[in-house]
Amino acid sequence: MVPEPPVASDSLFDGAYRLVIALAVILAILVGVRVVGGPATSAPGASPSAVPPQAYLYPDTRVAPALSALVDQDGAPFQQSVLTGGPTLVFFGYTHCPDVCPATTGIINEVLAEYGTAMRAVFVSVDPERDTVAWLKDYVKYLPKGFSALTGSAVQVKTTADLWAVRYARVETGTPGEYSMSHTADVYLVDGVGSLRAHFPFGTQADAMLATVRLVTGAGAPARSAAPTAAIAPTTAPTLAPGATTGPVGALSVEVVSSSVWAGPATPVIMRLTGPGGRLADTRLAVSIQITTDDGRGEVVSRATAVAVKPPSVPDVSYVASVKLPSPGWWRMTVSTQVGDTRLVGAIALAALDPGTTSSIGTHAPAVHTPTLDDVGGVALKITTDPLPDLRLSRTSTTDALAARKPFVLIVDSGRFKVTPACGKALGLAKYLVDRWPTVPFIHLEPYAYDVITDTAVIRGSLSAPTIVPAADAWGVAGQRWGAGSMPWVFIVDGNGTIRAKYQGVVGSDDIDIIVALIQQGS
Amino acid sequence: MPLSSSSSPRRSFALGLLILLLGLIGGGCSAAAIPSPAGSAAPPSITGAWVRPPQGSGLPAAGYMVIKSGGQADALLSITSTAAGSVELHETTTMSGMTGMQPISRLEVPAGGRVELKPGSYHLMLMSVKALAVGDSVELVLTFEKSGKVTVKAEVKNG
Repeated sequence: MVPEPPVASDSLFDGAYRLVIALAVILAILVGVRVVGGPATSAPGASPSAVPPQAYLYPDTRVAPALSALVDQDGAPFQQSVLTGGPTLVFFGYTHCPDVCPATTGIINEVLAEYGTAMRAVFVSVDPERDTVAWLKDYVKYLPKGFSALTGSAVQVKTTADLWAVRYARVETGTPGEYSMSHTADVYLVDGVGSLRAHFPFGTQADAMLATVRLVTGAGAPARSAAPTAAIAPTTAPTLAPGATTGPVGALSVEVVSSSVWAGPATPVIMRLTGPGGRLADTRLAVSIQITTDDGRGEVVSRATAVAVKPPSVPDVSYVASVKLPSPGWWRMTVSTQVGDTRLVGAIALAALDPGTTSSIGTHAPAVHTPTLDDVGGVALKITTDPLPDLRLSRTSTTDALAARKPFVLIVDSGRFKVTPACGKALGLAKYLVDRWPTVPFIHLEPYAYDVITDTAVIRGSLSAPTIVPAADAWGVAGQRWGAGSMPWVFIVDGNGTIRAKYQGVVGSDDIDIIVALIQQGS
Repeated sequence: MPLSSSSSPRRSFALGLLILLLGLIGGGCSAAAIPSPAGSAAPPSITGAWVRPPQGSGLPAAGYMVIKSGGQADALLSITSTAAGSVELHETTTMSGMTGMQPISRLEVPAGGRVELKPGSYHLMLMSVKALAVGDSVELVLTFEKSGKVTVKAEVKNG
């Protein structure tokens, strides 16, 4: 709910206003008219303070990640050299988006109109299923001139988005066949020489973007960081055509399936690999991983090997590596394997999330009891706000599973209190997956304290400041960095009680299926 | 998308009072200008309603407005329009870096307060819309929990 905006300080008017009020009060008393109502008391509004253009700049300069795996609205491969022809704004979205994307393209339109014809913009679809080349051809008619719209296969789009550290997820609307996409809604600025310089959060207005564009393209080369700039020259597909292609080396396309990848202790990274001959499906392949810094220097920070996993429910073979990413931010993951005579090499940028205070992967699960139906006399509403509860998710406590040395999946999510768009979705997914894994308890934990008043669950506190139940607190999900509004969380724990994976926000079925299969195959 | 919070509510309130004063001074009784007393059931007032035309055939259009309480707490429950097959109420939110939207079943209008439907926040989704051109207007019928139906004309524009 939006509070009343603060009244414009117009002192002259204010004086007149006070006079009118005073007269009214006197008159009201005199004639007995009661004057009440009027606007609610103004809360001190947070007027958007002017953000200096420098604030949008990245602290360092990096080569703009490749878009060249994609094709434009004419079906032509996107030429990365476009990014060296003039400043370019890059935005990831989808055409069926009625709110955020048109609002953003409208702002970009203003920037283009103001800056002039040297400037370009690129719309990258995160919805290749619906955003076909033919569809985009029609869509660009609604976009300002100078806009390219890019799409590709699901793998190409995912690979490209990963390079840009753009996240997206399909969100079912409840109507069969219809869905929307959640996605990173930042606008990226590539300067005229192919370097990624700034990003603008959703809602940044045209004048602020324009000021940053002018700052970056202004007189002379803008202050480049001290980092080596040898790699800043325009390049083509730096990650999709790895290394020198002399000898029997082929390109490996790496798709990261994991929806959350964490900084800190080794985090599982689920990958699908595609070579020149198609998707790799050999479960005996030796797959090596190398993590390097993403600053152009490419210092090696860790190495790992990946294990093949093929749960019956997932059509593709996935490769899972336990990867150490020292700190939150961008890292570069190079993946290599040998298929016949050919060595395949590919690389991808990985965005490591800050785990904050959440229970660490590799540590023992908190020995805290999650309430079960037995604890509450079988009254489901006391432990789940799901309007259609699946009681199987409330029969086992995490302490039961730990005592029985059973792997389990903990879903910290609310069916009713939707603090984020993802709320309730992890719970829905759990109900769907629980049938696949009869020996693995899926345990639902309501994160927010609530009271049952007659037959309704009423949150304690408010949706914006909910109270966290102790069991959820024990997993650290509401503490520093993430907070109570970060639901849902999913943790996967093996038979030794060790946390093997965790996910925040939108979680996919593969995230759970593949890690559970990995645990079950004893890896 | 500057959704100007049009005329200051305080300004119009003062104007109303001024008219009232003039009316009283003039000896007449301009009852129409008396602001509705608290607790009465004045329907919410809608200002600045607009619809962004869809960016492609078959795509949804988005609608925005400011809903101001008529005094009592109320909630917007549903919307219909002759220009659309159906209209949904959505909320856009950003969570762990991803911005997405979610249908909502009701939108609370706090007593004496207001709710703004604007890009990146609450908005209407008009599905199966008929062809809309900038400059057209679209009739929206809003159903409130307590106040019932309120009809509003929304301007079709880009923003």
